[in-house]
Amino acid sequence: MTGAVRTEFEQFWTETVSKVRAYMFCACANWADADDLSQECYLRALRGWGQFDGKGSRKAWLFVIAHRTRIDWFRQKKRKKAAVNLENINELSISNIGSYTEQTENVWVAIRSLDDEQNEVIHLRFAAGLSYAEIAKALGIPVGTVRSRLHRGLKAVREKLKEQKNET
Amino acid sequence: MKRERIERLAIDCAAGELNEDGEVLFRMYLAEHPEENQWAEDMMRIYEQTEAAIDAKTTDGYAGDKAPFVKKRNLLLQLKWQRFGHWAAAVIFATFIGFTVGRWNINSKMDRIVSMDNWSPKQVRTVSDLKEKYAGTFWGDKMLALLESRPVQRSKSNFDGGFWDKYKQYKGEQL
Repeated sequence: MTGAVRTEFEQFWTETVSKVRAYMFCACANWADADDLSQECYLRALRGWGQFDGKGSRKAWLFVIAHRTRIDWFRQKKRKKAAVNLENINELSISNIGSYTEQTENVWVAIRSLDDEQNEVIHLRFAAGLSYAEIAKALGIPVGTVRSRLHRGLKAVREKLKEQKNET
Repeated sequence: MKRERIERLAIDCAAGELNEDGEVLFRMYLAEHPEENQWAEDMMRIYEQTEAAIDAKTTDGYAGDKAPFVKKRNLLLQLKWQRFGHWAAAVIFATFIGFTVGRWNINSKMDRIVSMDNWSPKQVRTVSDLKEKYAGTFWGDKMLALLESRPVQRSKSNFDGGFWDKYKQYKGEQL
C-alpha cells in the first residue's frame, strides 16, 4: 500500500467511521458486534480500494460493502433482527440515559419491528445519512423503490406508535 | 391531493430530497390547505422522531473516538498479516501435497516390489525346443545348425561387492 493511498484511506475512515458504526449498530444492537462489523467492512473496502470505478460517491460505494457485510453477518449468525434480545435493548437504554426518553425507546422498538426491506432503507437514511440516490446504489434498487420503502416504513412506525399509545 | 401523495412529499421535503422550487410550491400548497398540512406535519413529525431515535441510539452509545482508531491500526496490521498468512498457507499446502505424492509414489513402488513374489521367470527356449518345431525343413535345419554352432554367451555378473549391490542383496533378503 502506497503512502498516498494510506493517507487517503485514513481520511476516508475518519469521515465515515461513525456513520458505518451507527449503521452496523442498527443491525445488531450492540457496540461490540457493530465494531466487528465495521472493521470487517473497512477491511473489505481496503482490499477493494483500487476497484472503485469512480461512479457515484465513495461513501455510497462503502455502504454497498457495508450492506453486504451486514447480510453476511446475518447469514453467519442466523440471527433475525426481530429476535433481538430485549435485555440488550434495556442495557443500552440505561447506558444512554443522557438523552434517552421513553419516546426514543418506543420509536426504536417500532423501527426494529419493521421488515428487512424497510429497515434497511431507514438505517441507510437515518444512521448512515445517505441520500435516496446513494441508498438506491447501495441496495441496487431504483430511487422510486427507496422512496416508497421509506414511506411505508415511516407509516408503519406511526402505526406501531399508535398501537403502543393505545395499549398504555 | 391524496393523503398518500401528501405524505410522500412531506417525507421527501423533510429528507431534503425535493428541489428548491418543489419545496416552495409544496409549502405554498400546504399553507392553503390546512387539513393536508396536518397530514404532512404528522408525517414530518414521525420522520423527525425516527431520526432522533436512531441518532440517540447510535450516537450516545458511541464508546469514544479512541476505539475505532485503535482498530484502524489493527486493521492495517491485520491486512499485512493476512497476506503473510496466505503465503504461509500456500507453502504449507504445497509441502503437504509434496509429502503425500512422495509417500504415494514410494508405496506404489513397494507394491511393485512385493508383487515380485508372484513373479515367475520367462521360460527360455533352448535349441532342442526349436528342433521339435523346425527340424525337417530346409531353412529350419540351416537355422538349427547355425544356432548349435554358436557358443553360449553367459552374462557376466555385475556384483562387485559395492554398497549398492549389498543394499540390493539386503532388500532381496527382506522380501
